[in-house]
Amino acid sequence: MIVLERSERELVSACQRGESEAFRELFETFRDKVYSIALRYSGDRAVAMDISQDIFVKLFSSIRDFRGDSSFETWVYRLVVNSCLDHRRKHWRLVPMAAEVLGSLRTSGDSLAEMLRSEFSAGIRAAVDRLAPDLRIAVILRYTEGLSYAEIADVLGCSPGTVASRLNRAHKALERRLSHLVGKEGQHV
Amino acid sequence: MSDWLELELAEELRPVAAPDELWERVRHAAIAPSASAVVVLPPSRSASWARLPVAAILTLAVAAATLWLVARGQGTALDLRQLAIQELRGNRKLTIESASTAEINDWMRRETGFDPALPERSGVQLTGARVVEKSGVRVGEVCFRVGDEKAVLLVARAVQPMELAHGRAAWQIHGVSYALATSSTEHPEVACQLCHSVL
Repeated sequence: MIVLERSERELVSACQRGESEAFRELFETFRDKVYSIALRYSGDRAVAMDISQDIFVKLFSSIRDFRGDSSFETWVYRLVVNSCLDHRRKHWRLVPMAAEVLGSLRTSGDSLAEMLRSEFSAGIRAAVDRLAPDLRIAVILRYTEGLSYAEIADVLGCSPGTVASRLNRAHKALERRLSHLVGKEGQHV
Repeated sequence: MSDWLELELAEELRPVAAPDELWERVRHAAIAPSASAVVVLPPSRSASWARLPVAAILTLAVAAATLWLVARGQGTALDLRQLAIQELRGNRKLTIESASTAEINDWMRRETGFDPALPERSGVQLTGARVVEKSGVRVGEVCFRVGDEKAVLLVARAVQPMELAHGRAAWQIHGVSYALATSSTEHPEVACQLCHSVL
C-alpha cells in the first residue's frame, strides 16, 4: 500500500485545485509503478517511456474526474491498464532471445552460466510478451505489483474467479512455451 | 502451477525505477498546445532525484529469489509470499536495527502483537525488524542474514484458514501466518536456520 507524504485525499484535492507541487508529489509517488507496468507490458524501454508519459498527462488532466468511488491507487491502476491495452506497439523486439544472448557474448568475462541465465531470462520475457493482452496484464499486476486476485479484479473490473482463470491460462501457456528451457525439476537446461 | 515458474516470473517481472527524464517529458507534454488540458507543473528537482531505492532494487534483483520448498498455497498464503519477495528486494529502512533476539522478540510483540519466539541460538545474523501495512493487514517483518544471503520472515494474523503445514515457504500455526524469503537461489533452505540451527 502506498503511503503518501500527505493524506491521499489532501493530495488529490490539491491536484484538483491545480497546485503544481501536488502534481509533482503525485508523480513521485506513482512514477515507478506506472513505468514498471508499462515496461513489463511493452517489453521496450522507449515504448514504456511513451506510455508512462501519456498516462501521467492523462492522470493530471483528468484528475478532476476522480470522485473517490474507489481508492485513488485503484483509479491510477485502471488508467495505466487502459493505456497499456490501448497502446499500439511501435517497436516490436526483434528476435529478443538472440539479441539478449548476443549482447551477453559481447561482454568480456561472462561465464557460460551467465549466458545461459541471460537466455533463460530473455526466454521468460519473450514468452510473457507473447501472451494475449488480457492475460499479460493480469500476470504483470500479479508479479510486478504483487496485487491479490481481489485487487486485480477491482482494477480490471471483473470477478476474482476470472482473474484466477486468466492467471491459470497464462501459467499453462508459459510452462508450455518454456518447457524446452527447463528440466523436470525446474532447473535450467 | 510450477514453483519455478512463479519464482522466475517474480524475478523477471520485478518492478524497476523510472528514468529521471520522465518528469521533464511529462512536464513538456502537459504544457504542449496539443495537450488535452494544460497543467502547470514545476521544473525538475535536482538533488532530490537521486533515489537510493533504485540502486538497492537493481543490486538485489540479481540474486533475489524466495524459498519455494513445496508450497502450493492459494489466496492469502500466496500474497504473503509475494509480499516477502517484495520486501526482500525493497531494501526499506528498518524500524529497529538489532542483532539481539530478545530485543527483536520484544519489539515484535510490542508493535504487532505477535510473538515470533525466535530462539536465542541460531545460525543466522539478525539485522532488525519493521512493520509493513498491506491491504489493511499489519505484517511484522524480521530481517536477517545467513552468510552473504539476505532473508526475511513475515508474520501476520491469518485472515482465513489455510492448509499450509510448517516446513513450507508459507505456513500457518495457531491463527498466525508466516512466510520466508531469501536471496539464496542455490540453497533457499538456509533461511530456516532462523529457528532451526540444525537442518
